[in-house]
Amino acid sequence: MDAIRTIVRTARRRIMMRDAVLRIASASVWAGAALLAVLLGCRLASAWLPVLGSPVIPWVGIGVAVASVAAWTAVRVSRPSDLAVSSVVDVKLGLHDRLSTAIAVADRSDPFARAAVEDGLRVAQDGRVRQGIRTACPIAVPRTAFFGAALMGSAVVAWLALPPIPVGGGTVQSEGASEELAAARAAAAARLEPVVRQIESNDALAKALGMTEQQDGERTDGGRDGDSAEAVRKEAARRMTELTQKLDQLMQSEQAQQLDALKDALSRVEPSQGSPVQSLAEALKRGDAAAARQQLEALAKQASDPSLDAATREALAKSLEQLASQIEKSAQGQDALRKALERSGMDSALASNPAALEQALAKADQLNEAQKESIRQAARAQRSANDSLEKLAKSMGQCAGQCRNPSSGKSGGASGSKDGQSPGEEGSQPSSSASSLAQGNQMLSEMEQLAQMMQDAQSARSQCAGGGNATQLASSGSPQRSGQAGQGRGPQGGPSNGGSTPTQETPFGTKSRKERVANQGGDVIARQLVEAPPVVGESRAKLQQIAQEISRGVEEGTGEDPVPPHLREAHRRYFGEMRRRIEQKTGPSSP
Amino acid sequence: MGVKAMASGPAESAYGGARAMHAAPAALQERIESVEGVREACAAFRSVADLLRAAIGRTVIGQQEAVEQVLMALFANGHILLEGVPGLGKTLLVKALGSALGLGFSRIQCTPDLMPADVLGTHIVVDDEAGGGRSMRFRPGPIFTQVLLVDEINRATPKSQSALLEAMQERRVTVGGETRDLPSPFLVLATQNPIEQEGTYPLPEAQLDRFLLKVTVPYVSREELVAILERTTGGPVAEFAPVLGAAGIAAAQRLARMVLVAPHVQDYAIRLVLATHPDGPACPPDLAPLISIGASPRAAQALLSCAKVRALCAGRAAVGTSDIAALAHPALRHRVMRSFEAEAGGIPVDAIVDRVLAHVPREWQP
Repeated sequence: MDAIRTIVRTARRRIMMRDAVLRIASASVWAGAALLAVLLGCRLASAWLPVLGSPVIPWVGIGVAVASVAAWTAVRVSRPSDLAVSSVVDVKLGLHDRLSTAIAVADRSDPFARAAVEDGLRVAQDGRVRQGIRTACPIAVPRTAFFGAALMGSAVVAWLALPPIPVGGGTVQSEGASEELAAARAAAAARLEPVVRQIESNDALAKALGMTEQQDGERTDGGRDGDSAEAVRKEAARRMTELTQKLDQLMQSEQAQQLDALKDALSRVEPSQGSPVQSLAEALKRGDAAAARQQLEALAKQASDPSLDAATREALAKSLEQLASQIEKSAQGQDALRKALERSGMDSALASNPAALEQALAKADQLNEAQKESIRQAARAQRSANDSLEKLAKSMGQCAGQCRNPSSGKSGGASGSKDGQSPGEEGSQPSSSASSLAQGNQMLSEMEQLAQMMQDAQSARSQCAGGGNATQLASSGSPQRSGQAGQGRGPQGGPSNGGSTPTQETPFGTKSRKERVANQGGDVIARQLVEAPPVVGESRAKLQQIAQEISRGVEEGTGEDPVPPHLREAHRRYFGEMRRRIEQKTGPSSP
Repeated sequence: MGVKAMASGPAESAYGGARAMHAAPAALQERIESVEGVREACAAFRSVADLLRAAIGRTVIGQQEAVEQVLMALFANGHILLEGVPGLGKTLLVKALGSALGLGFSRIQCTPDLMPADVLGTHIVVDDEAGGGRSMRFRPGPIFTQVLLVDEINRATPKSQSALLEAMQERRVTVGGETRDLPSPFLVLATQNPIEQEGTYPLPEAQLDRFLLKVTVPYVSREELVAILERTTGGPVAEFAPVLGAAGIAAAQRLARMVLVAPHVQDYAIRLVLATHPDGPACPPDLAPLISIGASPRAAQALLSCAKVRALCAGRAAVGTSDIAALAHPALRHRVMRSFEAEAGGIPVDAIVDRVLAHVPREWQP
């Protein structure tokens, strides 16, 4: 049986090799296709699949090796038996199953079985049979192998030839990415830092905007470590938008309206020419609270001066009383509230009656809640402004009284602290006049702080609007220059107007994108009856019906009637023009 | 005479083998207890087959494949259905076979008025000369012979067909309550004409199945036709002596049954038969609509028994799948019934068998 076993081993080896080649060829086709798909995917979305950014040749080698090992393992697992191999050889070489029969009956002892075994041995010892094994079990490379190799070659070529293509918002991770990221951080910092500094220069403004220390610690370059340049730009834009919205809210808040009401009321003060209080009146008329406070302190000091003669003292007292009277009169006005009511379509007379105003607001169906709240806010601001004006008027009246009777009490305002809250150094006991003067000083001080805050807010808002210029400056290599217009101090120590910074269109914006959704209809979940005004005038239904019939008739007529082809377009144009004119008169919709 | 004497030369060995088969079947049976004896028996069988071919070939020109299949059916102890157009030598082939075998030969020409008694025989009233009276005596019909030619069997009525086919299967007949064995060997060779269908009674599937092989007799070639004309229109036809007797045929049949069939070879025959079952899982999907009835287990039996004879004729002691494949057409063509779709499409049975052979690989598949 050794001769038969030898032939079977040889044939089995060749059969397994052939099977392995076939499997490797099939695997190479699939592997090549998969590799091509993956590499093309990496090229198209390299930001999402950065792990395969290494050279492709090792991956191809690894794929071929794995496919070869897997194919050989599969062939080893499905190793054909001696009988199967010998049967193949018998059929291929036309041996009439001598070899396979000898193997199948090798363990039998009957004469026919032994004769069959000897017959098989004789065949196996034939040299022609041994040579015929090659033709019986050929090892040929199938066409699929060439196809698989072509796919892998295509993958390599695609990897080497195609440039990275970002798709769907993906960005290419290249050597220039870090430079782009740094530039984006610098641009973001250049835009954000001046605004933040402007806000932080005013404690009240920072507090009003909720700029806590933790938020102050946030990076002003608009991003976190590991973010892409696009993310940095988006984060900077988000923070800038947030600051802008906060500043807008502050500039439309109750405080701002109170300041506007104060300035509006004080603007009606008429300073008398040659009057001792002319400077104070002019400062009040300008809305310059700081100057007004200084003038008021100077007048209080002058009034408490015992060396002042009686005539001058009387003139000063009279002027102060007149100014106080004007201020008190202004405090009675409700102009800001009236304007707000008029804008909302309500009766402006309600401004003088808070209770009636509240009732009117409760019944005002034409206003939504936001509008009502805005009017209430205007009313509160008006009341606060009037209270402040009354305090100021009372303070001036007390000052006038002190001027007439300097011995009635010592004014602490002249030598008090800047905010007027500390008692005077000379007076042993603070009198009521000193208290009133302090209240006036406090009112002006608060007005000064409020005005300063609003001015800073306005400056910061202007810098926000002028971000494009700041970005441009930052990109030119001098980020420290950005926002310089907002950092300068004005002649009175306050910041200058940042709004003078030239503006430029921002490089970013919103893109309108419509989501692709399938309109599948559905149940009606709400209905609303609209009470439209009744249609008056001449009915247009007839005319529109005629227009529709004309349009339909033209289409049918040109399609069915014997209208010459070269005249059909003329027919359509003529009657189409007629319908267009009718619709211009009547409107496209039915009445 | 020993079987070794057959190895001296082709003609001499053929006659020696025939004598061995004819004269000493018991001795041959003893000799095949060894490997050498098996080889000698195979060689003797091959010699006998060659001798028979040569003897038939003196009368029948061409038709080698038909002659070969007739011999296989003879040694496999089966019956044959010959199909072919008139004048192709079907009857001559059967006559030549009967002459070569030296067996009794009868012929039945089937007609629609053929009665079973005409086939089986009947009791007749005869004068008893010794007793002076009359008595009933059985007069055997033509079926009581060893080689029976049933010409144009599809012209007989179903009643007569069934009587004949019952005798074929049982190898005995019962007439008047008495059962009589038919002589051995008993070989029926029936012929039918495929083109003349009017006035015929096609054989039912169950009766077709009883024929071991269905041999198609094709047209002869030009050379064969020339030889036929020269031989039949010239001088007298040469006579030849019988080469194998009934004992030799029986010995050859026993030897054929002993031929080795390896399990994987037998599995090939099984797979072939199973592939013809339209409802079975082994039937190819494109073939199932073409088959209405598949091959029966008798088909597998016919394949193996005839394949054994074929292997012996080739001097081999074991059957190969090539033997089975070579016999697939005559063994399956009358057992596989075409569907209406196949008949309407004009697809012949042999084409269906070709598809079965193409679908079932000869290589052993575990």
